[in-house]
Formats: sequence, C-alpha cells, structure tokens
Amino acid sequence: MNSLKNHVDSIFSKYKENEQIKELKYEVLSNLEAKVDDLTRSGMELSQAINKTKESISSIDYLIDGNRQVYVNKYKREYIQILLLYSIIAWILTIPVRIIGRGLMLDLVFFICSIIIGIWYYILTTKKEPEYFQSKSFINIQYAYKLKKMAWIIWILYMLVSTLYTTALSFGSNIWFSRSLSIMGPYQFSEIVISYLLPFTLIIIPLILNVAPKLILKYEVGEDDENKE
Amino acid sequence: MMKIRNKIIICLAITGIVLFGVVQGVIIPRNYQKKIEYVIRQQNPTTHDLNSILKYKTKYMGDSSNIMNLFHTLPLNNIEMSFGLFPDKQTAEVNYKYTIENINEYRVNKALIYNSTVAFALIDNLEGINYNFTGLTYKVLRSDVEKWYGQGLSGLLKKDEWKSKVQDKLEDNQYLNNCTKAVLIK
Repeated sequence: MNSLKNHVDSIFSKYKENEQIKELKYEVLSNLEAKVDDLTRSGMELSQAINKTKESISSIDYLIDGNRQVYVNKYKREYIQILLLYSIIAWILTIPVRIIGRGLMLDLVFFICSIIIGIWYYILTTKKEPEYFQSKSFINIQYAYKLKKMAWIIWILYMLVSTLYTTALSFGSNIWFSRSLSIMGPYQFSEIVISYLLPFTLIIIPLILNVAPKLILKYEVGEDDENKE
Repeated sequence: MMKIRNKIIICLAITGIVLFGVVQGVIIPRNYQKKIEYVIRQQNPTTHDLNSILKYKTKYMGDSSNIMNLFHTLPLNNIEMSFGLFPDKQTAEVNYKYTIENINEYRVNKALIYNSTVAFALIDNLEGINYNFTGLTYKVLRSDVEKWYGQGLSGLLKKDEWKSKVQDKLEDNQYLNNCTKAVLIK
C-alpha cells in the first residue's frame, strides 16, 4: 500500500501542503485503498489491483478548490497581448521624463520589456494549429484573486511610503538643512511633480495581475462560446 | 477584441518610436546645448544669473557650506579653490590655485568685483574677503564696495537694479579700472 501512498504524493506534488490538500490527500488515498480491497476481494492479484487502481487516477486538479480548466494557450496569448499593451503604454509615459534626466532606468526597463514581450507575442500569433489552441490546463482562480489583492495592497503601501519619502526629501529641507524650499522655475517644479508620479507607473504590476481572473473565466473550458475567436 | 487591441498596439508602438526620436534626437540635445550656454554665461559677470544665487542669502557668514556653494556658482568657479572663514574678523578667504597671469588680469578684476558685490549683498555680516592667488593677494572690504555703489548692497538684489547698477557697468573698461582702484586692495 506504500506504493499507493507514493502515487498519491506524486499527483499532489505540485500543490503546497495545506489543510485542504491534506484532507484531500487522505480522502483520495482512502478511496484508492478501498478500491484495491474491492479488486483483491473479487479475486485479482494485489500488485495487479494496485496498478489498475493507480491508472484510474492520474490527476486531482479538478478536485482542488478554485481550479478551473482553461484553454491555456488562448489564455496565454491574450494575456501576453494585454501585457504588451500595458508595457508599451508605460514606456510611452516614461519617455518625456527623459527630458529632465529622471527615470532613465525605468524607461529603459519598460522599453526592453516591450521588445521582449512583443517578440513573445509575435511568436504566439504565428501559431495557427487548431490543436495548439485546444490544449487545456488547470489554473487556480482563487490564487489569481489572492495574487491580485496582494499586488494592490503592496502597490498602495509602496505609493504611501514613496509619497512620504518624496515629501520629506523635497519639503523637509527646512528641517534637515535649515534652508527653505525654493522652486525657481518650471524645471524644478516638474522635477518635484515627476518625483511624485514616477513610482505611480508601477501600477502596471497590479493592473497586469488584475487581468488574470477575467481571462481564466473567459477561457474556461465549457464556456467556450466566445473562445473560438 | 484582440484584433482591435493589435491595432492599438501597433499605433502605440509607432507613437512611442516617434516620441522617443523627438525626445532623444531633438529636445535632449537642444537642452544640453542650452545648459552649456548657461554655464558659459555664468562665467561672465555681465551675464551671470542673479536668480541662481538668491537662495544663498543669509544673515551670518559662519555657514561654510553656504559660502562655498555660493562661490562655486560665481565667475571663476572653473578654477580650483579652497576656503577659509574667520568669523572673529567677519572675513572670508578664497584661495585660487592659479596665478593671475594664467587667468588674465582683466577677467580676474571683473570677476572679483562682481563676486565681492554678490557676497556682500547676500551675506549680511560679511565685512571682508581676501582673494589669494599664487603670488598675489587682493583684499576687498564691504565698506569700500558700499561706498563705490553709494548704497546698501542688499538693496541691489532686484533683477533690473542688479543688471543696470552692477552687471552692465562692468562692460565699461573705464568704469572697471576706476572700480578696481577703489575696491581691490593689493
């Protein structure tokens, strides 16, 4: 029966051990052991019964809460397309900032990301085989929601810290250096505004994660009325 | 929806490339050129930007970083220098690591008169400045500069007044010679 336990462990191996997984594992193992008992009672050899029972279950993805079976390549293609769109928008928004010599690295990162994602997306659009787009896989929608929520929380916290930091640095000169702030012209004013706005561009991360649950629902197997585009 | 998004992506990519070209190929080089021209103008007392130094206005001369930063934005800032402050004598010392002949005497006189006027106008209790060059020292006193202008120096710190009473006059060689004799003590 040890080999049954090993088989159950292997089909659960991609899932993190938590209460739900533990319970599910126990339940699956019990069912398999019962099935082996039934088969041996009906006269089958133990090793043959174990093999037959193992063959009867090769995946438990459909048993996990929140797991949705999706047309994974269609899902991936649209996700990459949206990623490319957001990345190009972020790149364009950071281009004017180059004028005052700020955010050069961020602009470069968005540019390189746009190129890489663009190539990736182009490769995906060249795939035309119908069987490629019929490929199915499980994606956990609960995990996608959780990730989305976490990304927003982290982004909001980051914006708060960044705003406070910029305020302290720009308007705290009276405290740190006994010298009052002087904004001599539009250049200095734009520098301060950009210091506040530059971290805002990282909103791209929660926005990208925002898309995942919507696309999972869109490309879920069985609800393929609009998936044939 | 995906086809529309593809068209939007192509339009945005073209916009991005054009914008990048304009910013990188036109605006940034133009700004860089303006910056260089500005730095060159800051070397000349008659074109120096008063606004850039108003932030150094202070009542007391004891703030060494303030006085150092001020002199690093004034003419002759391209010459290596060190500073000394003597608060008991209300005097500052600027040590230039060049001989006057190496720089040009006309340029030095013009710059020292301008720099002294700036320093006395901005730092209320600074009474004297010693400028030490290799082999020669100049001393400038607030009282002499005030006497030359015939008024309190902080009153000159208005754009028009500064231009007409301080900067434009330095263009006149006769004025410069007379002022040098009256203000710069060797």
